[in-house]
Amino acid sequence: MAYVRSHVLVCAGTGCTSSGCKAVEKAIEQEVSRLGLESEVKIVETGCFGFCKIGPIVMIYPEGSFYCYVKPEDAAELVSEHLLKGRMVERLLYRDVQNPKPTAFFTDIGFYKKQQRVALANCGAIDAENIEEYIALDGYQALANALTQMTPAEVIHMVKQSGLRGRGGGGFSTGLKWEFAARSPGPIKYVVCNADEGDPGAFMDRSILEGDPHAIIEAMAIAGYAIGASQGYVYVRAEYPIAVNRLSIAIDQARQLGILGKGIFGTKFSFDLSIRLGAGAFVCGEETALIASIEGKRGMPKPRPPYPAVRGLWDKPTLINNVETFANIPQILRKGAEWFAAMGTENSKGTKVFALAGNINNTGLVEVPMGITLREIIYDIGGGIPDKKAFKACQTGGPSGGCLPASLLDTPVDYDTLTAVGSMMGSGGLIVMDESACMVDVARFFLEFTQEESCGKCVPCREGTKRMLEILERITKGHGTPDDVDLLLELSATIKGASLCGLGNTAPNPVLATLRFFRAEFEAHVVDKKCPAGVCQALLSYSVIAEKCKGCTLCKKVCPVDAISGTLKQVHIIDKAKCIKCGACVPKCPFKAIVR
Amino acid sequence: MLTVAELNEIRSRVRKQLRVRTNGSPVKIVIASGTTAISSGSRAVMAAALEEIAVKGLSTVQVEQREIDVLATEQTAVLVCAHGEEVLYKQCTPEMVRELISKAVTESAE
Ligand SMILES: Cc1cc2nc3c(=O)[nH]c(=O)nc-3n(C[C@H](O)[C@H](O)[C@H](O)COP(=O)(O)O)c2cc1C
Repeated sequence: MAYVRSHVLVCAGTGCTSSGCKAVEKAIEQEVSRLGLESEVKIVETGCFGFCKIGPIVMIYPEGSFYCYVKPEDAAELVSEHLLKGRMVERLLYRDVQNPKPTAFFTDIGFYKKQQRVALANCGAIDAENIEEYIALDGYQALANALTQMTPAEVIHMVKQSGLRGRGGGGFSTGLKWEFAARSPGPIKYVVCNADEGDPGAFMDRSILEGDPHAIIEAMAIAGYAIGASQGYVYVRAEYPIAVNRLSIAIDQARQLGILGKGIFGTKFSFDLSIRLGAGAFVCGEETALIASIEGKRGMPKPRPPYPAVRGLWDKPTLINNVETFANIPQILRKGAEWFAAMGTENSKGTKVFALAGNINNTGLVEVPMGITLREIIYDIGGGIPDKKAFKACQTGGPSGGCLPASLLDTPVDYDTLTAVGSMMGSGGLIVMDESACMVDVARFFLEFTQEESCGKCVPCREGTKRMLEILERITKGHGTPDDVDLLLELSATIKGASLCGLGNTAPNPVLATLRFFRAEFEAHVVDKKCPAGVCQALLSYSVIAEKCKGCTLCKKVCPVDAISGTLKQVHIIDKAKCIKCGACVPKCPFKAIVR
Repeated sequence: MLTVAELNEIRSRVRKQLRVRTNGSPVKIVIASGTTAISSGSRAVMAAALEEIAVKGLSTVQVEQREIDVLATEQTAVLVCAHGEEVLYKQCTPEMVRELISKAVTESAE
């Protein structure tokens, strides 16, 4: 077989696909063939590298050179300089915001330095559509070993010993859940992978399915063996076409090799998988609603108990785990429970993937050991806040979590600490906000999301979130009263306590956490009728500082409603009755004479 | 139906192909590939090197292309880096590089 001296890895996750990686790949392919390098160079499409902000990303081995923002026009230079002559193309190498010197190797990039990749280990490293590449990196060894060398009880014991907790939000012990499902009597059981991923901004599950689908297939088969199930379902939202496609390809390949199907590895164990597409309702990520959706019913939750491990899909014992939870399983079985438990904290073992978004320099997916501080994630990995602005808050746990202030930046990230400080781990959304964010508006935004996603089955969630949203809208429009804050607290307590499922139980969290840490901002809205961050339009009022105004007329020219009057070299005046508070005049004034 | 032995066979076969993605091979052979080297015939040297490595099944050897600072008349230069030591060979032809791989590189890779 020919010896291929160089591999060009092109990130083909959703992020890089939308920034044009396919055209880049095609252009590189054409250049490689134009220069006659086809037999020496292999081009590989991989899953996500995580650093979505700087895509399309291309990595060239054996050097490990990391190129970013690559465009099809760069292909000729990249191929002739790097692949033919061995000279790195400096202008395409990564440059840190703080350090303009190019970084050649991805291991030297701040974004990756503190990361520890377990669930994402193969993402960006292998061709997700090639089962052999997965096998080359020890893929399916854990399944083979479990089926031929371990009893189901030993598998469950190992998962329990590892300390792995569910990454879908609840943080329940995975090993215990497997044990419950195994103990539930009955000849028919199911394994379900929850890939609904409804948290706005979170995309780790999508990335794992896109970059390493075989890890999920392997883990689900192991789970099937452990609990005594022979059929599994992956419930994934239809808005994830690349993930669905790669998973379908992976399932077909596993079937063709006999890794799925009857008598796997010559044992008596049989297991197969099907994909079920979800329509993208947030509530369908809740396990009982998800089960209803797979059964073809309307996706609405049911009271628990009974838990799915006892009575789930078609009333049979069902094990439901999240994608990231499953992604850890093959490595736990291969490397041992102690290896996994050595990472993280006393009660939160292993790593967690976060989707870094918002006002942060390095947006993307990061996997970090549990126990790392928010500060390390936001500043060391995320590169801090852009435009020299100050950090104001970070939101963890998505719509069920809360906003934490700067005073809590040194909080270690683990299940218990995040809950103790008034937020939660959730599925791993981490949204960073700078000084320009209005916390009342942020609380309103999240409540608007949960309100819209409430399935309407139970009154506290359906009506309660609506009333809360009305109050928050009132406050942001300047019609709030001091009593509204008390009303929000009262409603929150009722909704949390009386709702049927986790959606309602946690929907008030963003409001509660904001009230806890940013109460002064609420008070400014209801008492002073001011939005200190200048976000809530109704509370804004623009005026000209006479001493600073030079009468240049620039503001007058840009005002779309002619609300500014004044002649050249005269102090200008804003007519507040006419002003629509669009703010267009503020950046136009060279003398900073217009204030909100 | 796949057996465990067949699974392991796929693993060792494909793992060899993926070694290039590790950037940590103890044995490296660098073929000079700057403009002068290319015009002196380094592409043919590269082709011969790759062919010989394939024939010998030396999957742990890493091949790199880059500029090597020697006189134009000394091209094609080839650098063999094995276990921390570097030896520079000058005026290499395809035949010479094959011999180099058969001797120096094969020994180091073993
Ligand atoms: C409203 C709501 C939405 C949820 N969405 C998801 C989701 O998108 N993905 C997920 O894995 N778990 C989600 N969960 C949690 C699931 O109900 C369930 O706990 C989880 O899938 C179990 O897997 P784990 O133990 O591996 O975390 C959601 C829960 C609620 C209440």
